[in-house]
Amino acid sequence: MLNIIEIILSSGIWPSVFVLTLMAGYIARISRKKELKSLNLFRALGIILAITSLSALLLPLFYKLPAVAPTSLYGALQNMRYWDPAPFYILPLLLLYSLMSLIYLLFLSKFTKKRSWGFIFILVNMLALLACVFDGVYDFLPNWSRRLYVLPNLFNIFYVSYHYYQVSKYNTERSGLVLKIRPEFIRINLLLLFLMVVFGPDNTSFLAIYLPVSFLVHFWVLYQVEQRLWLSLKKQQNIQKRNIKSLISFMKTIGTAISEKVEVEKVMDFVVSSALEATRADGAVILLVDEFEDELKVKSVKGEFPPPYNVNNNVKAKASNLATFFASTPIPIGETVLGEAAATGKIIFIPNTKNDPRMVHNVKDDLLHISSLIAVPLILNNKVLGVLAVVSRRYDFQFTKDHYAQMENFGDYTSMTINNLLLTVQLLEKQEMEREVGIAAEIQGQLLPHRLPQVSSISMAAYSLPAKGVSGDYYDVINVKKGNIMMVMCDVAGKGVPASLVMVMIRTIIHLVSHQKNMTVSKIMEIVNWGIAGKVALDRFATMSLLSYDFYTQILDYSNAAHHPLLIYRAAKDVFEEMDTEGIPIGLEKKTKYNQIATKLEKDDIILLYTDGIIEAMNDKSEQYSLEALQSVLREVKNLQPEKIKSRIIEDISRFVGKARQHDDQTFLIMKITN
Amino acid sequence: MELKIRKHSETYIIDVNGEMDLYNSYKLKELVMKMLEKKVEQFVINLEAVDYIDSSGIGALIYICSTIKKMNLKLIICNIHGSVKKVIELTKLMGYFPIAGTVDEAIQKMTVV
Repeated sequence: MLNIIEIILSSGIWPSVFVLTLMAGYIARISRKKELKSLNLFRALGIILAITSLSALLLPLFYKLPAVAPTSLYGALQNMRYWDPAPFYILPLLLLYSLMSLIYLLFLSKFTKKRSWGFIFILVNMLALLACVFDGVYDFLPNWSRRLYVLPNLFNIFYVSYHYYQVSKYNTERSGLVLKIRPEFIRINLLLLFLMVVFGPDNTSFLAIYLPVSFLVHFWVLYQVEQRLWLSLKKQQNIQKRNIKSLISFMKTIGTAISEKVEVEKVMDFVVSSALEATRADGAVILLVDEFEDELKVKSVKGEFPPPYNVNNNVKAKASNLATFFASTPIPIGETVLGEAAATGKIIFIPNTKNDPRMVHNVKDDLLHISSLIAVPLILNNKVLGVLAVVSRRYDFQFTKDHYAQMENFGDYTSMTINNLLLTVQLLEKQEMEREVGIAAEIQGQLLPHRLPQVSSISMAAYSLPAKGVSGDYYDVINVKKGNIMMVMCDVAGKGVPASLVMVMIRTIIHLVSHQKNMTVSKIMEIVNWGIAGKVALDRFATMSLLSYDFYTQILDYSNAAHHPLLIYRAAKDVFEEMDTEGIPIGLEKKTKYNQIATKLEKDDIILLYTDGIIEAMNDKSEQYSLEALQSVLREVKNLQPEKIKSRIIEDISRFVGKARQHDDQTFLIMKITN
Repeated sequence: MELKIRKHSETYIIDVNGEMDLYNSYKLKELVMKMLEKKVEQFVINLEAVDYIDSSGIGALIYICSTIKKMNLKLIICNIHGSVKKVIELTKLMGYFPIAGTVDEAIQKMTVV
């Protein structure tokens, strides 16, 4: 027993035990960093190293022991020569080398995602190990041949080196680590192997130094990996923090931009700059969908954003040409990566443009060069509003999953913002319109007659209630000459100042011509139409009823330009009559002809001119008041004076409408023959 | 009001959705003017999903119709129904607008003429 302990104490494995302990401590240390999950492979490496060295430690015990126990360290080293240590060092060394190489290859495959190396490697190592085991047991190989164990080791080193040297930063993601460790790894391993060949595997003094040193190489590699992973982890955490920060500042700035003054372009610019800064990209762009053309239009570009498609050589010649070309050329939806993002509604993430056939135009040319691209469709309620994209033009900077996540967030927020923005713009436009409507209301106040003319043989009442501040309705009663009055009921399309101006024109013309001799209502209608057609925008057309009534003859002349027909209540027969004439609205065609129609009125007859707002007044069930309802209330109150009739009609309508919003202007004119 | 455009060979169909009133009729006008700038020559305005129109809406249609007529291009308005139809009838403009029952009919008319 003492012998065994002494042998162990004096053996050349001892320094390697020291290094292994160091290494185990180190692995324990990184195991505590829970974030470094990807180091599992290296924990496995630690365990394998431990098992290998343990077997290296124990193997001598199974061999025959020297007859005389050594009395000193020197004695032990001397004695070892006698019990032929080579086989039990060679086997662990071989095993160690092949496992190490395997781990290095596995490590590499984490980057390249390829495992095509497996078969030859495993075959060669298995054969070498088998030969070694058989030799250990049966001792059939001549002593000199033991130096051949160098061959499988050399094979492993070159095999691993070959695969490590296949990696370049262009074909592999995160290739930095591989690039960093491979020169040292190969140099040191070759040096060690060379020393091994020179000193021989049976030189225990040499082995005592050699083994621990060989472990130190892996120790160094492990340290590199840890540093790299730890750094990237920190960076990732920083990026996340920065993401949140940039998103918050983004939201804040947009908030103030909107509350101060809504400028869509400025907000677009801001979105693009934020995306550029947050992802540290070289270029960023926002494109919005043009619904009509099925195209994406560039709204804002920051940095250098080469078009992600082929352009002709003239454009390619100069950077400024290229930028102008890109900014002014719409992209059809579905074409190019940007159009594709809009068409599919899915984020397009191209970490490396070299591996993507869609980007073939952007890898050769320097001006067009894009090394990495993310294009995020801006979607709201399943509708694609546009695309936000960033590119990297640096060979050594490619977007990662973090950038992807960041852009996704940005995209979400941007689409919401754009939508809000457009809604706000609409709201402001509406407010603007309402302000204008206010001005128009003032103009209109001057237009309508302040009081109706008082004449002996008839009695009148008028009512007008605008729906939204200002009315598109115009009515008038004009005392043309003794014994003759004219009534106008007119509905101009649209509201606001332009509509009011049309009213002014109509009113002016009517007042101007109605006093002239031999004037008829149809002629007035034609003059008014001739006067305004072509002078006002077509969408400012008007429907108009004109009537004149002669007290002496009791004849009513009526002409209509597509307005509601005149309603007459014949008191003698207790019936309603509607009077109408042909003719399209005024203001459309200069040469429209209008007809007129005449009828005789009797005492107590009532006539009513009204606009659509009356019979189309809607309640909250979307039912319309209707002409029938108007007639029946009129029949009920036929014996009252027009002022009373008026208030009863208003009451009836407001009872019918209830709480529903007033949809359209309501205007009516009542005339009752009193004599 | 929402406007959507689809294309049927050379004909552009504008689907109008919602109310055509004072506050949004200008959109249809602007859209058509924009399309005219782009040299679109055949229009169908589909009013299938329009339940309410006021005089501004009619005004917009008149404006569009007359502009297109002046340029000797083609326009057909289709699927006029309900209160929209009532309003157009009342304003005696049924004859003024080129009208078709359905989109298909409109396209057919467009190709025959």
